[in-house]
Amino acid sequence: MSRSISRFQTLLNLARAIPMLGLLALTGCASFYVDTATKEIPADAYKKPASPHPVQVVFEFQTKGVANARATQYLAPLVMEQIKGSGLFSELKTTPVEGGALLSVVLNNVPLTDDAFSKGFVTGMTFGLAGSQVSDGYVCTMKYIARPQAPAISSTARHAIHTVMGAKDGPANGTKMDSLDMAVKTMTRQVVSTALDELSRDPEFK
Amino acid sequence: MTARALMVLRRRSLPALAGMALVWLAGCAQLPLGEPTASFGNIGKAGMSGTAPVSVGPFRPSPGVSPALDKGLSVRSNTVVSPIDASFAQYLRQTLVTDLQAAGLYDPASPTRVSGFLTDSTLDVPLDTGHASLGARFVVVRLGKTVYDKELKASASWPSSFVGMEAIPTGVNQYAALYHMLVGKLLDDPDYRTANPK
Repeated sequence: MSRSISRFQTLLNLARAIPMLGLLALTGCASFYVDTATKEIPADAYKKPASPHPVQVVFEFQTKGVANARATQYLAPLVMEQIKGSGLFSELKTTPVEGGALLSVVLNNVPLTDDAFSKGFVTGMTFGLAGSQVSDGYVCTMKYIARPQAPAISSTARHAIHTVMGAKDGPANGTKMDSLDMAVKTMTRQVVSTALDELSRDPEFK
Repeated sequence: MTARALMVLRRRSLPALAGMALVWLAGCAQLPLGEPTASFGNIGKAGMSGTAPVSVGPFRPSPGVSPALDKGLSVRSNTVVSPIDASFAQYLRQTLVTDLQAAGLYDPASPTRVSGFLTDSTLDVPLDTGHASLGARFVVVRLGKTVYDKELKASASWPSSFVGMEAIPTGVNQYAALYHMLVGKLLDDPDYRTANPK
């Protein structure tokens, strides 16, 4: 019973952080697919600097370009841990570091299908007989400033989560996830790894 | 309708009923803002400000404003609350501390202290255009002398939605973003920079 409550609480937290996907998950009639175009790049593949420096990291999740503090709070530990394990930096802090290096990571949720509610509503009204699909896009932008006043170098990666409701086959370009929580965390890991890899290959990243 | 068809219908209607239950649950809910995290933009502004590290004193509702202004905001029968001591004034204080810490400009031992008085806090999420505003009077005291005293305001408007599940979180995000915007206005203010040089 307590496990069920905990799972429900996780879903409620997700619903508050990423509302439309969370709502669909709570109704229990949705399946989540992580797009296959963006794959996780292992940290071993990054181009490592000869002598990594410490860095201050600032992470922000946005919804349509506006900071989403709850989702930021939810995903920050995951993102920080991933950057820590990247081997691109000697130390990670949320306060200024020696040398003044600063890395900003923004993950912006942009709806690719803007009528998610109406599609879900139709599915609900037909008791799932009329299936539908909505897609959420995610743009991860990293900006790295090696030292104060230095020009920023940046990298960008894109990803998507497809949500299928009712009687409809899953998308061909999606890998089915067991839960919304798994879909969001998988998407985040993959898109952050792609942006980190691009950043590591910038000639100015030393 | 056959018994099998009825069973299928019942099975498929359960998610819809769950959805309706959720909508019912969502009504009258308390929606706490997320804990303040540092703003990259404000770290940049602080770096450019050329100001000295400061300590941060008490923040409270401005005298004369309703205490309710500090406690919660009603949005389509939900209540937005602060996760910091259930006070929006404390949320503003924590946002300022977080941004200053991230910029290396927070020093609890500094003789220059910033305090604040919450003067405005609104969030309106109608069916067409949403609107939010936030205001505070910032007071900077150095060694007992007031060197800065000014009210700053931030506001936002955005296209709102008929659907509460979309409109409410959007409104909450827009409102929460005003806290960093207000801190950014302080860091940008030439009077503040003059009052608190490095």
